[in-house]
Amino acid sequence: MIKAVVLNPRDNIGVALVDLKSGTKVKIYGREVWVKLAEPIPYQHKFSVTPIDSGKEIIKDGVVIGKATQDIEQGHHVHTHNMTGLRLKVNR
Amino acid sequence: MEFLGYSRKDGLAGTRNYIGVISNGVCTSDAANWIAKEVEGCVPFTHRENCSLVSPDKEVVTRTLINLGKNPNLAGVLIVSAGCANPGIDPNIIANGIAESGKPVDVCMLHQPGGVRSAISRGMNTAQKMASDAFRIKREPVSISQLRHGVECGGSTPISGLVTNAAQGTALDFVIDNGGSGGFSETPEVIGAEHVIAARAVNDEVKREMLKVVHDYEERLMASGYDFFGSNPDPQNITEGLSSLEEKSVGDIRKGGTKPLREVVGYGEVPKSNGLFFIDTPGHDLPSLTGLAAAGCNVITYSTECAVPYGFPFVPVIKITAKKDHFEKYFDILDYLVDIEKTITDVRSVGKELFDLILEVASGRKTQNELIGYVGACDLWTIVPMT
Repeated sequence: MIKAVVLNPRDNIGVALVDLKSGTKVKIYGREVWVKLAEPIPYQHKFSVTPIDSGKEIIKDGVVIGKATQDIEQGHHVHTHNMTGLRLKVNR
Repeated sequence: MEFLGYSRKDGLAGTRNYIGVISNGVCTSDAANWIAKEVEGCVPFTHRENCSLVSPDKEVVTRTLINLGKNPNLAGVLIVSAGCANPGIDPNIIANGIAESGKPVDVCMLHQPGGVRSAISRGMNTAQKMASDAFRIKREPVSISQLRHGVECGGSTPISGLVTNAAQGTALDFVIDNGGSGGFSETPEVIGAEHVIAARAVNDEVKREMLKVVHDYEERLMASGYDFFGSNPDPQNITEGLSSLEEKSVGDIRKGGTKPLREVVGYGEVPKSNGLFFIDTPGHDLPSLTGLAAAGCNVITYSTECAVPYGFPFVPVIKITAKKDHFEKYFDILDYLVDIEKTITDVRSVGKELFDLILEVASGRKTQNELIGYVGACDLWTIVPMT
């Protein structure tokens, strides 16, 4: 059973295909790597497969989907608390 | 390769054989619904626009209604109009535009001596005659070159981008590889991934147009001054795991398959070339579905992880999901369950299954939405602020 997937060789995040528990080592489909998760990753959410420094691009399916707003260590949940999109940003 | 369709005088072929009862403006929605309800074989198309339209919306609404009427799934069209001195959209221009296709078209004006109800009654008689003639047309084998596949998504999740849209994009690839055409839409949901589609454009002009429609849409949204995060992506998108509009777009564009992009068309326009096209529409699914239907799509697939209930009045909408519990619970509005693991490991086999279902539905198999008659939702896109 595939538990997580990386879509593109450029990607620095993986996607959970089941609810993943903290502390488990996950084999990732699409890349010969195991990632030890530092926190639980809900079904279809993202986690870092490499460390991502604050301000660096988050890449999914080979496309930049935003940037990290804080340093993200490997195996952490990546979502709105530590990344932001770059497009359609309105400064009011 | 062929499917069983209804041949039309203009050389196109329908997957359905309805009489369209098209409301000219919002003021005649009730009449159009009433007529279509009373006469078997009729379907209504209603919308919210009316007399106050200004350019460019007036042109957009006019051409959208004309091209909806020309959709090959309609054997004939009755335009319903108030017939007042200020029609906004001229019903005769709509009727004449549709008549170019060679199909029967008539106009039912409500402002007639004898009252509105008797005018509606006469409209029913006209629609009944058209329907009676339409029922004489039989399905026959037609080339798959007459299949135009529209691709839609609604209620996005990371899984819909990863799996469900990949499945329908692969099905679209099969349609095009076998000689059919098809396309996708929803311009704001391409923001951030437009360069991926543009890179597949057949020439620099198409590439520029692709980038331009996305740029223009983003500019209009920015000019409003509103923050759209929490609207697109919406709260459900975010809860499910989409962290930015770009991430939504990455999943969204997978529904457009992998074929070269031949044409970018404006809202309400019909693509001139074969193969893959992109239509400039909102991300809102109802006006987007209308854009696909006006482009001549005669079958639509629609990925929806949140089980959007609606279909479309005269184009069958095949609804697909990867959410097994939704597929079981909402069996009466969903047509195909996408296997997540199979799609990740062998997307072609899943795309082929969906392609086979598309051909079945094009040949007459009813979708779940058609079976329960949940096909009434319709809307148009206009961009000028309402006065």
